[in-house]
Amino acid sequence: MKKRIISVLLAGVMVCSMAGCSGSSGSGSDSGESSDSSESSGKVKITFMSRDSGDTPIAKVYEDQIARFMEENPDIEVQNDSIYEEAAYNNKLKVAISTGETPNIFYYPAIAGLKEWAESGVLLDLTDALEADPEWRDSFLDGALDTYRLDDYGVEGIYALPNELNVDAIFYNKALFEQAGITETPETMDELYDAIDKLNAAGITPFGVGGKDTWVMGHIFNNILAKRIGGDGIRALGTGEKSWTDSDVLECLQITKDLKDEKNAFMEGFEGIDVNTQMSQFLSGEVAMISHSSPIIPEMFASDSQILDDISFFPFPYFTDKEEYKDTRVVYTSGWMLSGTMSEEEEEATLKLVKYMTTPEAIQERMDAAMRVAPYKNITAPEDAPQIFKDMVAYTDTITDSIGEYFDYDTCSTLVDVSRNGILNMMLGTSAEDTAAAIQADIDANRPQ
Amino acid sequence: MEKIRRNKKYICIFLFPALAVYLCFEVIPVIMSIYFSFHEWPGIQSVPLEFVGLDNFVNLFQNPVFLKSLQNVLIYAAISVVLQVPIGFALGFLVHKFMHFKRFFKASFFIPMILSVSAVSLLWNFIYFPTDKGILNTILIHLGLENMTQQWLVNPDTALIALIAVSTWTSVGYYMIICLAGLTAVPESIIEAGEIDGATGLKKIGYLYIPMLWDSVKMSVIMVITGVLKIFDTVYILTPSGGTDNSTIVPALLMYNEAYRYGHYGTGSAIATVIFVLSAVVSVASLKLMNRRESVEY
Amino acid sequence: MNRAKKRYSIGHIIGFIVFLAIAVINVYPLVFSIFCSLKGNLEIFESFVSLPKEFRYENYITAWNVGNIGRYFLNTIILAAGTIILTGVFGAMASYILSKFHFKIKSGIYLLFISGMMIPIQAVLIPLSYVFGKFGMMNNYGMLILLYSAFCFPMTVLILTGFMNSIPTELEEAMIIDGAGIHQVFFRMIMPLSMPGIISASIFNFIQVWNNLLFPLIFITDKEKGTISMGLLSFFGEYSTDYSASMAGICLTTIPVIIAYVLFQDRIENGLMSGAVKG
Repeated sequence: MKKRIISVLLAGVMVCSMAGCSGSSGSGSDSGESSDSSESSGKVKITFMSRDSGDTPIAKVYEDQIARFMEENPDIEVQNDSIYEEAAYNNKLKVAISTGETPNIFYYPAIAGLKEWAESGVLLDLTDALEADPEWRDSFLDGALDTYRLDDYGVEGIYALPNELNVDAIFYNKALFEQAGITETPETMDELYDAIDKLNAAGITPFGVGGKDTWVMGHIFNNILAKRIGGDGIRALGTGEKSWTDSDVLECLQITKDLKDEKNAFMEGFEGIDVNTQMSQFLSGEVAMISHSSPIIPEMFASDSQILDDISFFPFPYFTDKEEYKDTRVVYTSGWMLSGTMSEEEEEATLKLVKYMTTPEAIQERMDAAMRVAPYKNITAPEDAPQIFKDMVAYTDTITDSIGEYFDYDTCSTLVDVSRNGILNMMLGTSAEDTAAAIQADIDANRPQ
Repeated sequence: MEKIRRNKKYICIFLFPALAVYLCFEVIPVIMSIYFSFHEWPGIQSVPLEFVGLDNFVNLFQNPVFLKSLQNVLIYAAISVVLQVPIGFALGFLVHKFMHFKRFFKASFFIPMILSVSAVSLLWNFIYFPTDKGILNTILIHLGLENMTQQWLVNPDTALIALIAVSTWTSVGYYMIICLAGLTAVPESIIEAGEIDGATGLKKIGYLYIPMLWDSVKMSVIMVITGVLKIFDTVYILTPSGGTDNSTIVPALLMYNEAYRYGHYGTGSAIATVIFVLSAVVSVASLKLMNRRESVEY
Repeated sequence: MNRAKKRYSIGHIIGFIVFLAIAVINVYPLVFSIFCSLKGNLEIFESFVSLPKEFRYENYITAWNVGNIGRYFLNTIILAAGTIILTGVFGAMASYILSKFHFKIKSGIYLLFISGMMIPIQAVLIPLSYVFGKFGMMNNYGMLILLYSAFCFPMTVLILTGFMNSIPTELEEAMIIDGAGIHQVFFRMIMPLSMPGIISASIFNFIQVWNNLLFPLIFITDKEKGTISMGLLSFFGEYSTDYSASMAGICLTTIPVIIAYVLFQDRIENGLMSGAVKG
């Protein structure tokens, strides 16, 4: 007995002493090739942190490109810290920024919300880097670089590179449409309502909505907003020139609410269904439509769905009384932010990597291998791509008037949750007026002056 | 004898390792976090802290969502104590009695504790699925209780209870283990003496075991309270937005949002401080309550 | 006597039924996870209770490769073992003092320990990462074990002081009168007698380390040093979750632990308790 206890104690002491002396040199016994050695060997170390991780095609493309980059640049070491899971990503990123260890390249879903980071030097102003390399600058789609120009919010400069275009659309199941006797895809909202009625009459659930993930209803509302108050209206809402209690915004909330109450467009209990269930309902032919954006296409084709040939998409319909916003399209741009606290050496290496990952070939590779649309010129869908993806690329090319998410244009950081939760509560019974008032009250309380 | 029990050298040597590690890695960060709660800070290294006194706390207690979260978590804790500790201990006695299946039974309780949260959340999503397809709703329909089917996590009347059920399921195993450990320390002689005096069944448990296990009961209650007041995972996974009309919002979820999503680090730290203080107050109060019972018992 | 026996057996039957029902409720999630791990992703959502149509073993291969399961499993076990040993020994030492000794600030120190249970982990991430970053302690398992231990001490001390309170003081005193020092009393008598408590605490500590995502997430950047909880994140993509592979990963990691628990639990407990009697 005594021996056993002594051995336990010894093990404990060993653990402590290991902890005590190994210090920053890293405990070599745990892993053969520790990356800690890089600093001493004079390598520049940069971190890349996106939300594309794991087994997805796009994550593999990034992983490959980074590996090739390191091979070609032996003096640079890139660490890929990408994590998809949202809470994990937020925790890691925010801890890094708060301790001054901002990743060299990272992703964050905001535009106006970047203001504070831009002001306090967390983010690099990319204007000079872009001006210094006109060829690179001109490879972006016209106007794309203005997405992250924060001049309107009082900080001069471009604070992120637009990296991906997520084009919103309604995806539908052709076979189910035929079954319900719908011959033409809806172009106007009235035609959409008509299609919903026909689907209901045929006993088919019109829309699959994973309401539990509040962004799904939020996106539907955002499309309605875009089609009724247009891009300028949404921007005005963000800067405070317009209020959520204005009659036209209120109307949009009411239309969203009526999709459930009047048109019966969603299945019962959708408020408790998550987005994965929504997808599987659509892919197994249980529901006729889902509202989603372009990156869902490769995910559909990665699944073992039997109905892939029946899937197509149409743009979100417009309102006949608001014909002026017929061509306003919802496109979510996601960007890459660069750290503003890098040494010159790091900055050089980081820009080198970013440019490496955004050459026409690299962008084409993303499109070929992962079916992702990026905001760059002269990119074409590969020959062997599914028709729906070719259609999506073609459709993307026609877009001239695009707008992102309403809260992207607002500096109020709580708006995203308050509005999306508000919209879901509205679907469950709260009136549109009360919802609008609650959202506006939150903005008044939390939007930085 | 008493002299040895006051020997400073032993006290220091024995306490030092645990206390040192604990102070460095937990107490100091907590003190820093409390310090943050009196400041406003957007979570950016280059931005200095701005002292705002009690503003963060004043704002919190004027925020109806925060007050709702306190109400939720107190209800959560109260129901959890009433459910988890008695069930856990009842199971402990059951295992103690049924020696034959002890291993299997104990192992079965280990499963909910060790299973990754993503598996647990997927499962409970299916159990609480809002339509007739949901496992719970299917069972109700088969039992002829169609009118009792619910959108469990959506309906504000059932959402909190549904979450408490999940927590109870994952954690009764802890209290069963504590009960079993406590039972091993109960001297057989006392129980035998009690049996000779005619104590059987429930009486035996009530008059013989419970007083002997009172320390274990107390520590279980503290574990439930401290565990529930800071609860995050279960709530975040099953109702990420805090439920319809904030029916399942809890302080830790608000803290995560404020500190890691909205860039209000001071507010987030203030919420953490409130959780800490509340937890301490409730724990001490319940200990007082249980100590009173103790004096009645003995 | 006969009647009493009969009543006893009815009680037995009721107990058995309750026992069976609860066991089913507890084991079902594991069965559910195994089913899901053998299904296709769409199939999982088709019916929540059905058997897999065909057994897709390839999910396990995907899980093993994508989640880097083998390596992460080993890493997690190392971390957990270190934490359990450290908290077990040091926690028992501290608890012994807090339970059996008398000094002025005893209840203060006890409360200080217990209050650690009231801290939400997210509240201390930023202060902690300051410290870790400053002193170059990232990717250092020794430091990580100390960190885990710090967060395991509160519950360990709570359980062990409670447990040691119930050990009669007469036993100790007899040993001391026989001329044994306090360290001998502690290692020869208190530790063995508290083993059931130490084992319970160790089970809880193991689960804490096993399920903890935030510490490795923030303090480990070297992919080779990741833990299971990090590995299981790799199945979540931005637009879809690979539930089949994720469930396969969960089964691959959980089932060995459950088996180990079943095999070792009684053995450890019985072995140590008989040791205690002898010791």
